[in-house]
Amino acid sequence: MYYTSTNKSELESYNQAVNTGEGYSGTTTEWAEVIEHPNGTDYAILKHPNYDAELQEVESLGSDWFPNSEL
Amino acid sequence: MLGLRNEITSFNNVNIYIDLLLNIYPDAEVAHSLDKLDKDYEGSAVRVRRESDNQEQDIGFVSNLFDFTSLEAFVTEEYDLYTSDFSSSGGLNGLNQSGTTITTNYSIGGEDDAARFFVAAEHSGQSFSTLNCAKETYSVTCDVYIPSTNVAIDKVTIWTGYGAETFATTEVKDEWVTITGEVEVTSGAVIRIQALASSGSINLPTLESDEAFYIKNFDVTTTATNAYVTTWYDQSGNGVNATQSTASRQPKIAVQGTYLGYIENENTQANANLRSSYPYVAGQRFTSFIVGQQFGSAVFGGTNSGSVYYGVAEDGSAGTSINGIDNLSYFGNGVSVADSREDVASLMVNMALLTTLAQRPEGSATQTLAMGYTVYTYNSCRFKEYIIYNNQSVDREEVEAYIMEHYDL
Repeated sequence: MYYTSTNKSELESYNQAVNTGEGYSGTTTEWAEVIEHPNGTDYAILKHPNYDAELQEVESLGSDWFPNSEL
Repeated sequence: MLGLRNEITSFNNVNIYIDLLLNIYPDAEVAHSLDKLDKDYEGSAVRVRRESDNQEQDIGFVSNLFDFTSLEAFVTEEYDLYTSDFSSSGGLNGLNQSGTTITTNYSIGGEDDAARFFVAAEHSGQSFSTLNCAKETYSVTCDVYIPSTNVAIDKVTIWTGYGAETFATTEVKDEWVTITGEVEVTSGAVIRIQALASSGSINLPTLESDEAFYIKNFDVTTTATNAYVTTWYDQSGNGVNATQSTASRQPKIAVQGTYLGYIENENTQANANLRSSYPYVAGQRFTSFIVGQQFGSAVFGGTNSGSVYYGVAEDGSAGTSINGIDNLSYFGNGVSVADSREDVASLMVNMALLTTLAQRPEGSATQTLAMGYTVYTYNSCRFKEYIIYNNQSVDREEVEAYIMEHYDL
């Protein structure tokens, strides 16, 4: 599951909330990275199973989010 | 007189005093393995993060083999989620309350340092405390004292909420009783210590006077079930450790089962990989020896904009040309399969050795080492070993033969 938003800072705040709650230390510094859609206006972040937020939730991100990932 | 070399200790057919792969075939550019590759290497194999409390620990070797025992011990180590200390006024330590006022440092029933769960007169409805949980299984123990002067509050129970299984309960009056239970919760649930009415209802009737119950020695422990690799240490001496600092992108390491200790990615949604600063120099041909297993399109190789690129699909195809590394040749278990890549697929479905010869062309984008899979392909792979040599400093077939014998491939 992912949260999506056109406001990147909302997703960064979500990430920070998870980081604080989980208390990462050592090599691990954060829960996830904000993913930017190639259209430049949409953003997404992987949802942590234990942390909810009032953000748009989607099951997965389509291939349009990763146009260069070929294999 | 016997020399050291004759005092060989054998463990799983590995002789700990004999030379290892990097002693025989030195000058690797990068050398990651879950077994020791250099008998003089004094570092660890990997650093892992356990899921339960995000603590990290290095895991090393025993008799040159991966220290499975320490991995299991660290990951399944019981740790305290909550340990009560009600001897001071600020001792709740995250214990929340609903319909209840919790105050500490009470003496009752011959015991000091208890917490009082106070429910005021005219209160009706539920009365409970909550403790947030984010994992799966917990062991809970708690001492409970219920005064017989209570009219409505007749029982105290530990559970996760209405309709949930009751894990521990007591209705003994005027003496301390220890209740314990094993609690399984869904992610994000809470553990409740809840007052029940004499009818057994979670909703108390309107209280005609103040009532209370008391607890102490409330302890909650849990163990982890999963662990993730934050660092796969480089044994080559070049210091190019493969790391992943983002928790959701760290590959798992198997803690139980057939593949205990293998670094693995299994069809999660996230892009999971380990990356290092090892640079693929333009024009240099390099040879990679990969011991592992793949399902679908595992990727081994360079990075581009943070994603892993260049790899081998289960059908033997490769996505390389747009990603700055080409001229790939593939070898499975020491046999060239350049013209029949289905063999690569069948070999890699089982634990196998895959050797690649490749080159980063002049003028292509800068590439550094990465291994894992991309967010879009969502495929699975396991790694046991990943070694890269400059193509001119290694005899491919000899190294292949060594690895295949070591892993009995």
